[in-house]
Amino acid sequence: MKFIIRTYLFLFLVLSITSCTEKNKSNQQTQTNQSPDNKKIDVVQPEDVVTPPNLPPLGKWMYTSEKKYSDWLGEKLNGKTLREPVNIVIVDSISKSADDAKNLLIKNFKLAGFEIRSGHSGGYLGFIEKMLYTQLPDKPDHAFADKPFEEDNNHGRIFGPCLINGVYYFTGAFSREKVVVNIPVHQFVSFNAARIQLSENLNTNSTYKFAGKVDMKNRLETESITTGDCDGKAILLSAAK
Amino acid sequence: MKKIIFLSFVIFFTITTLSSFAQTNKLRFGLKYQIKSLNYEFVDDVPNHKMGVSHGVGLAYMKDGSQANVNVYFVFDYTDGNGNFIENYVVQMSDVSKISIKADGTSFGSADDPMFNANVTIMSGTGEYEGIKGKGKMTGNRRSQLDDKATVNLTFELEYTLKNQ
Repeated sequence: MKFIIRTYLFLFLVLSITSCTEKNKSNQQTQTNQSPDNKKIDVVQPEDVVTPPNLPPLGKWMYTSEKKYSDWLGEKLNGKTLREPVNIVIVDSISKSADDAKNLLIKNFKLAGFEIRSGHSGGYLGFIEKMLYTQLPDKPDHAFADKPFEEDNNHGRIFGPCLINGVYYFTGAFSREKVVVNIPVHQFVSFNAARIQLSENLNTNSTYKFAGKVDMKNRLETESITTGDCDGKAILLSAAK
Repeated sequence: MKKIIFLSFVIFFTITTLSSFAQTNKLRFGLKYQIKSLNYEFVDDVPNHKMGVSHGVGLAYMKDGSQANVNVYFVFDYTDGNGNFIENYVVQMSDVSKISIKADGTSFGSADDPMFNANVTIMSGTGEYEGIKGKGKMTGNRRSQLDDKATVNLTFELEYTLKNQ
């Protein structure tokens, strides 16, 4: 009896993942052909960059590995294409090297309950100062997440570090998703909820502390594109001596 | 004369050595409290300038897993929901020892979901914390506007010494 139940559960899980992947692929293809929002970006446009006080120029958006605006794998919100905003900025003035900065970030995220987990798409890019940075975690199809992908979770990617005058800068894009078991798919829930959960956990449990908000000017609502509940701000966290 | 110099040296050495044995301890805890009362007046100099007082109650979560009841009293001077505050906490441990703490800080970010940081001074203690002295940092946030039911999350990282150590 136990064997039958286990087999059934295994098959259900396999079918769920397959179905989810197919849906995402299908959505991506649809977007490639039809969406006005996913043209390839060879050079990040000036209107897609902000220069907040005391910070380097920061890209407003997360990009796919093909240098297109990331659109939450084609998920639609109220019939509109999602655009994924940068909603976390981290300033590290402690680390002495890029590797130190990366290691501190991974350690702090783990302390905050955001571990490197599989089951998420990868290869994303984010712009800081002059160039696009590849994502952390750098393992294919992994992201920082507070729960396994089979459960409702907050997850995202970090870009950088960019070194300027001895200070390391990272940006990040985080969102909350829920798992709709009976369809089954991953569904977008919120950008703000993930942002506050991550930053609260970091402030409480790690050396990254609240340092303010950054006006990213990345709240977008057009006829075809939306940033959901994004308020146009990123939470700034800082590791200082 | 040599004896006096020798004795002075011994006394100085003893005092220095003993004072260096005053052990520095770390106290790290999270505090979650709810605002129970809030009173304020508008200051008619710039728009949305408020000064007020508030009281809250909550729980401190110690690193060893224990919890402590906390009463929070604060005065604030905010414009558009952000500005300066002085917050006092009376932390009552499970063994009825008490610590009184004062935070002098700022609220920033936005009025809707502000963040806080403050310099913290440990004012006094009773029971196990008799003779406590210390200082440190507080950081935190509130996920909503300041009202009489808002919940506040804070984290304290303090260093202290005790008179008897």
